[in-house]
Amino acid sequence: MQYADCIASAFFEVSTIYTWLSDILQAEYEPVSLLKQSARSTVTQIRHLATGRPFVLRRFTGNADVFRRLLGCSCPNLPEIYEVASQGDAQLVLEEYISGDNMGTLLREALFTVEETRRIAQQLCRALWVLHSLGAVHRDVEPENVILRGTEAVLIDFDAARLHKPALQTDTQVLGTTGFAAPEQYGLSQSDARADIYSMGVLLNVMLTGEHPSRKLAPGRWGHIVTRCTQINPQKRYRDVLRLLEEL
Amino acid sequence: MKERGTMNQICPHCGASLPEMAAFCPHCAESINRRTALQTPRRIPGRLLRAGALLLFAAALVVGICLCNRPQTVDGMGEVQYTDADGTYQILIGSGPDRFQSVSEMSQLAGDEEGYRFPSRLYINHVESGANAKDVFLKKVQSAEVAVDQPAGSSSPIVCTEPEHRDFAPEAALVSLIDYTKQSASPAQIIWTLQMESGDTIRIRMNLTLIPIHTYDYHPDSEDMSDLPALQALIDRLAEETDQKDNVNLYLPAVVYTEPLILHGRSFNLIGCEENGRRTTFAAGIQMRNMDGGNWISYFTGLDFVGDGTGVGLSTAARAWAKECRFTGWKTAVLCYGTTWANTTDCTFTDNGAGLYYNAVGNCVSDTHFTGNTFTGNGVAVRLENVPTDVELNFSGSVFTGNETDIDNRCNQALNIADAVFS
Repeated sequence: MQYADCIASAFFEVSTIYTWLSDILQAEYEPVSLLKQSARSTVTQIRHLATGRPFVLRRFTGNADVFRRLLGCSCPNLPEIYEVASQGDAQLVLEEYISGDNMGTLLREALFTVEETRRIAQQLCRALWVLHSLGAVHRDVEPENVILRGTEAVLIDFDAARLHKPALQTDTQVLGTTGFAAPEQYGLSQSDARADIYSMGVLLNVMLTGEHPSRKLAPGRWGHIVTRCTQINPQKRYRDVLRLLEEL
Repeated sequence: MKERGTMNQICPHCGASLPEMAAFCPHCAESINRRTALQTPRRIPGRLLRAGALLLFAAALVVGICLCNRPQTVDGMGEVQYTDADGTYQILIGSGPDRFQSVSEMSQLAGDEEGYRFPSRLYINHVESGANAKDVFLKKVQSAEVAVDQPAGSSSPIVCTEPEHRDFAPEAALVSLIDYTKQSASPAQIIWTLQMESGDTIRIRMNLTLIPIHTYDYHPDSEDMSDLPALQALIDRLAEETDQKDNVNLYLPAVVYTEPLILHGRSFNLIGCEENGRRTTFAAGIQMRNMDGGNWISYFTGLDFVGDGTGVGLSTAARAWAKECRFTGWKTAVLCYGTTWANTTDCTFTDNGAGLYYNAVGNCVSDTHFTGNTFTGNGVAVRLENVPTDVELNFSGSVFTGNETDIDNRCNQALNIADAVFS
């Protein structure tokens, strides 16, 4: 037994699941459709040949810590993460395929009622609480990333999610969707969990009015909640999603 | 065949072999890890909370004063959370490089090798930020030790090294190497104990089960290995009948195999012999195919590979290790390709176009030793087109004589040639 054995084991552990899983996915699964593609990631719907079960396969470069932390968790309002594999900077994530109605599509047809908005917003807050309690920030909360599956709203696509790093002054990249992303995500200050609260405020307003709050604010108490969520200064927003959930 | 991999988890749904770190069985598409259902905490209305808080505060003050000076002991399986004045820490035992993945139950295979070793890693994370808190935390640790609680009377007790930092596990605060043999008794429990400067004690445990693997020996007097068709038939049968984790040793007769041997499906150890001046010889080479995800090593010991100036002596797409073999007269003597790793130690490479030819990618590494080889009269003794990972290849004790090119390091691999001889 030599010291080199330990080095070998370390490298082996890093690479094993990635190559092993890649090989099996190629042999025992088939691609169904390309869901999303960017310079740093590819998201594909795939199907297990034997059972017909659909999955989402996410390949990207960067940090997969968020997904890795979600491996051991379950929440009805987030897709389950089944496997995370890394090889150097290359990441491979196998996750639950959420079938249902996309909120972005539904909003093109009609607005949501107050009761529907409250129920969905509460569920999204629960999803965000899970992410935030794991030290992650979603940073891309928008209608296109919400799937309505029966009575449950599921927040999908953590492509933009990053760990919250208290030591950083500013984020290194601008991510998220213009209009739904909080101002600090454009470099004014560091994004933390309150960036998601800003996006939740915009989402609430769009669900009720179809408009960004800067153009048309939801009436009454809902307008108050949206305004509190979308304060430019993050410190003036709800302190965390539990506060927002309480308000809802 | 030394156990290198961690394919020692069995899918509870379909029985497939899975890597130890796997959380999902891709064969039956079922999740196999435990999941914690996360729900938002229920909030108590503010007024009630404030009234209750006042009462609790008074009580807590009294109790707190009593308790704050009393050392606490934190004990858990796989991981614990420990809170001090600086925050809350997640302290866990891991077996892989993921510092968030705790292991409370582990199985390891035990075969007939002299000994086996695996690292037990202690990770320390700051709960609130998720940051690696090893450096900050270790300053508060007075002592750290690892012990093994195991059945009494074991003929080969499991032992562990003193916990210390190891370069191969940069994320880990401390690493202890656990050594065991097939004779070690289990179930056992690995126990990490941290004695804090504050007087607190942190204890984290991991259950360890050792699974013995079998060794099958095949000799010419009991199996027909007299020519290539007979040997190939035996190989094909064993690939079907034996478990991948078992050892299969074939002791070959001193004959010349004039057709290529195809190895597939599992690893094989081929051991040559010498009788009346004749050695076990492969004149058409050995082709080792991809093992379909298997990570076992095939060992080739004491074999001659004699070519006619064309072809490949040993071509391998799976982990291989040639020891004390002689390669003569091939276009390429040893070719490692695909995503695997091959070692050659104490071998001779003579009059080949290329001696050792590496063109493999990925992160697969078996061992860094390429020691004791003799390269004589080859076109290129060692050609490194691509080598998985950037580990340093150790050519100590190897001799390079009369080659047109000794080492053609096209991928700029790190090499240790300090004790190699070039003439």
